[in-house]
Amino acid sequence: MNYIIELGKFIYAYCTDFIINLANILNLSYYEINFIIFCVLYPILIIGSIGFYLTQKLRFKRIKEHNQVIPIV
Amino acid sequence: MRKYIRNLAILISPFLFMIIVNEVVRPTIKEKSYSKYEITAINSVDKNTEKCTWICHNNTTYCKKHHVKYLKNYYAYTDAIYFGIIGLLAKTGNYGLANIIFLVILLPLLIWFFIIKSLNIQYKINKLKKKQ
Repeated sequence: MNYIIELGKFIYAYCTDFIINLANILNLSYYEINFIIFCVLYPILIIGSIGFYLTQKLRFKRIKEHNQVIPIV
Repeated sequence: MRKYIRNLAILISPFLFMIIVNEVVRPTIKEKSYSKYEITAINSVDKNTEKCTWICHNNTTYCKKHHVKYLKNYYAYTDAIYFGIIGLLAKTGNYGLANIIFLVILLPLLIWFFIIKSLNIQYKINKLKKKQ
């Protein structure tokens, strides 16, 4: 259990260091990078990936119906 | 087999990018590394007006005052979202753990899952089109 807690602490520190490093590399700030990644990019990626999936499902359904073929599993 | 390699590559590439950035920056840090939760970090906690350090993580006001360039005029909007998310994570009772579970594991997995599903459908569509 102690090992998992230590690992969690290490991951948290490593990810925070990454955000700090990214901020310095891109000449932005920790606040801005955090905001861009977690408040802008994440919601866009979540909504975008779900939207992409639903669009693909619809496309597949239409093509399948158009071709009138047995679905490939 | 190719599919598994593709899926694995999509999953690990952001983490790989993080490791590359951190390990490239690590040797360039001259200041004393910050120790938090008995873990030694890469960056220091020194106050530095030129670049961000752990002080920006520990004290957002300092970062906003000295480092923020582009969002200065939008604090009225950005603070509400920024501190809203921090507040939500803190409400779980363990801010650090909630950060890892939601922002490092669950949400990336969710995004990865839908991307993989979409690519698999594209593969099926291509197969159907070839059959025509």
